Amino acid sequence: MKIYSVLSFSVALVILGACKKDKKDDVTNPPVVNEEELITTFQITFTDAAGVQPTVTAQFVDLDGAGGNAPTIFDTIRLQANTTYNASITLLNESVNPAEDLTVEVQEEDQDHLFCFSPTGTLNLAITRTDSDGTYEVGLLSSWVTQAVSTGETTITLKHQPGIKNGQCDPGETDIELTFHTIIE
Amino acid sequence: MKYVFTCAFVLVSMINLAQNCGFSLTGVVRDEHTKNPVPFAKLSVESIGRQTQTDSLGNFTIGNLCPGLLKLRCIPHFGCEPVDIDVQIPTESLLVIDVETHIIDLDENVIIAYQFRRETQAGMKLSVNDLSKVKGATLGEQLMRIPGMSTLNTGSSIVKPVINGMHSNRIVIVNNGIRQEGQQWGSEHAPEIDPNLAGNLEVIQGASGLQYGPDAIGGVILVSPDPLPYGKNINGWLKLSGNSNGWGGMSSALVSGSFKRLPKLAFRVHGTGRINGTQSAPDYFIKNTASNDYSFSGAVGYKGTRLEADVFYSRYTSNLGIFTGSHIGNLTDLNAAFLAEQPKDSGYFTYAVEKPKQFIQHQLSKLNLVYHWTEKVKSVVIVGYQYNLRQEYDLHKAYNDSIAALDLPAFELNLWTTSVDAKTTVLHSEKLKSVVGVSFFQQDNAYAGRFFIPNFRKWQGGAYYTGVYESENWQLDYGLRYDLSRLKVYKYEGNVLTSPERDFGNLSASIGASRVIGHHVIVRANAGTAWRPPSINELYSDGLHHGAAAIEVGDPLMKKETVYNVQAGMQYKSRFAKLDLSVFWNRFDDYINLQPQLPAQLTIVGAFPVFHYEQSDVRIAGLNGVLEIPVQKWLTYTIQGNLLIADDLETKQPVYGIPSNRLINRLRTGTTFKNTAWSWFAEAEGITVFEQKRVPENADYAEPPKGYFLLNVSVGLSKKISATQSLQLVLEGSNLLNTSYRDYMNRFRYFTDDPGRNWTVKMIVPFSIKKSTKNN
Repeated sequence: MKIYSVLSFSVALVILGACKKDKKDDVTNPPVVNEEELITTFQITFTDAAGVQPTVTAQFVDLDGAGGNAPTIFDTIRLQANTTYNASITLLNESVNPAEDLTVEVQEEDQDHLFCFSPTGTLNLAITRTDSDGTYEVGLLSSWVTQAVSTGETTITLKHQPGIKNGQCDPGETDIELTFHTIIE
Repeated sequence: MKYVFTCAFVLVSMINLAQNCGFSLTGVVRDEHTKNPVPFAKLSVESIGRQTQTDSLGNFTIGNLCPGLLKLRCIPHFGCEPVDIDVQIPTESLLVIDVETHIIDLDENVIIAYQFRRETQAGMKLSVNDLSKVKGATLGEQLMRIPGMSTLNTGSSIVKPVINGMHSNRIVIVNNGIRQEGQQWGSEHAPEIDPNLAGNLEVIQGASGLQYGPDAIGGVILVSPDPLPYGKNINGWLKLSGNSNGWGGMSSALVSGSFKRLPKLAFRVHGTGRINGTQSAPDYFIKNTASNDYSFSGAVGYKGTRLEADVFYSRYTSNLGIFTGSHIGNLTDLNAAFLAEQPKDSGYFTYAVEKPKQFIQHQLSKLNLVYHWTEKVKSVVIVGYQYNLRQEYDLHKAYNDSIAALDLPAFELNLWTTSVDAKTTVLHSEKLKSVVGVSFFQQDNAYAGRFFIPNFRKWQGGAYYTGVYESENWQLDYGLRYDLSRLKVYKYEGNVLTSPERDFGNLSASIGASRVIGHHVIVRANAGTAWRPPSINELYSDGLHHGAAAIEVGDPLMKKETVYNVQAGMQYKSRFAKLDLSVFWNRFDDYINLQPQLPAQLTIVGAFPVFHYEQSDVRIAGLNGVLEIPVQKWLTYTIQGNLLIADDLETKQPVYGIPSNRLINRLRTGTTFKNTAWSWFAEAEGITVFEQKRVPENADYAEPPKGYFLLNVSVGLSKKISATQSLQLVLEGSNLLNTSYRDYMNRFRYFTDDPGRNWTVKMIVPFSIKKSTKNN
């Protein structure tokens, strides 16, 4: 009787244990780091609307994402005075090979995203978004109008506003926030 | 007091007629459940100042008694509560008296002076099914009635218990005899336990805590179901509750019993379902705070004369919405959120759990074997297997459509734990008992998605000895334990898979003494040392902690944390007052704590403050007290308070994240209706929480929130159905004044107020399937 009880209990335990999903093999074989989706690279390209000044590109690159190693590239934006630039933004995940272009994804979900540009008061610079999701602006494309020589900072923010986009920068979660040192020369 | 579980004494007395004053009273003390005699139970005959003790077979005889009323008293000693029994001498009727006692086996922690911590009001133990005393739905909230307890919250649905300012890795939760092994290092990871299954919740400190591991620095929380009811009828209870804030509901049922033809077999089945919608603060809905959880458990057992065996399985599943406004992108968002009077995203009512959210599952299987070698020696072996799954979903779905379509969690942690515990209890004499045991566990952790902690494998083993010596007025308890722990981590350094290994080992010890002084006072002192190996996040976390808006960096070279503590306390009990006071002093070597680092780190999402796990010497001291005064026969006033002081001795700064001091004033009234089994109670409670002024500089984004006052009331009706069961109906109102407040121990204090007024109706309906013929 005793022996049978113990036996049947043990069997029951084993059966219960066996029902679990078992992925223990994964323990010694962890995922390669940065397998997840990451925006590693922010690129903004300025082309002179008049086609006179050379094209300018500014980048921020942090290949291992937040934490870990410091960003490898954080450019200064250098623009010519009294010029109208057409700016376009590119987002990349360069932690994978080949690099993944995330700009397309933002474009597809443009009704959930908004770029905001805020130059400091010291800059003689006016920035307006030039694209639209149908209702509100998006900001992947924008127009930068420079005037007299000046320096300052320009903060570029990408807001994720699923279902709450109202054209303002306020609502939502911040996906990108970069403050570029800016020189108008 | 061997082999006695939470039990009722059944006292059968027989009166033998003899000469004048030559009457004698004989009887036997038996365990209610097993009907086994209880040896060495102490009784006193108050009216004539004599004492007696049952013999090894539980029998007692008191001779030379005169006719008249005799007051028998269960001596307020370490074994039972002071209950008076009146016997008319001579009498021929059979006297059956139920006495609630809380004696448990030595190995289930009687080591701490029993009286000292088991007073029903001031004590460290709560009966979960006493709806008049237990509040809240989560384990953390339900423990709040115990002095020194507080909670660490993440919003309103994630509640972690805190003992004397210590939580997470510094306390051990023992669920049904097994250490709960989840991702308990995280402050936003609530214990994966349904408290409804527990008959009792208990907090233990001192030598008996050593049985559960070296790391019970703050204490052990025991969540214990009632023992399987061998030889009893099938019965159970149904518990229902509904609450107004979040329009939530809970239903829980338990059935347990034994079959007539197989009295040696017993079973228990239990299930709970709970759902709650969006909760609201006094002025707005707190967006995405819906939650639901489900749990199930079953147990079967066999109890023979020498062998007992049972198996237990439980499964707990929980879905928790995380307040959307807490999911901030960077420090700018955080500052904006903090300056805002109320969250920018206004909430709405729903039962749906939206993103960000947590999905948690915990499974536990257990085999428990007990063998009685002799009447005085028994061994227990517990084999356990636990699987813990934690999935956390971000608000933001992936940019890439094909990844987004999979709807994967941002990260997932799988934890498997296999444990074996074995111990032997020896009753050397009626005064001396000891427990010797070994324990071992192996743990595997695997993650998927975003890196937060690495995969690891952990082994930990230990051996211990604890003992207790009891005399008439003294109780001495002591214990010693040694543990070794090995942690092997599997992670990529660049593109190379590495598997660094860390070993830790140390001694833990505890010694305590208590003394009964007169009839009213017990004093106690305890000293001990405990330690813990650094947890995985303290060693290896490296990255952005969403929701905390901080980059947290571990230190792979972290040493173990050791604590030396001293506690002293006294308990006074008379018909004028009950007082329970304790002071404690903990000195930590290499206390592990997050320290702010400058400068902030730049990322594509903006700048984040950086915190490093660092070690320093810390002191945590405090005071807990409860005073209960029966102002009138029908009115009791209780005042309960606690005070905590925690300092980093190296930086000469207070320690971050220590609960504020609080004071509870409570008035309770109630009586039993004459000649019925019905009784009622009403209670009003004012909770004053003071502002936490002792905070380190530059370690927090904002000043701690102001102090606040909450008013709670409850009224209830109950009908006693048997010695252990009653029908109860309770109406409870919490935060009755609908005060807007934020608590320092709520991680969402930056973003939102705590919930406002909540009405709860709850009831418990006991039932039995066959009409009881035996005395319960």
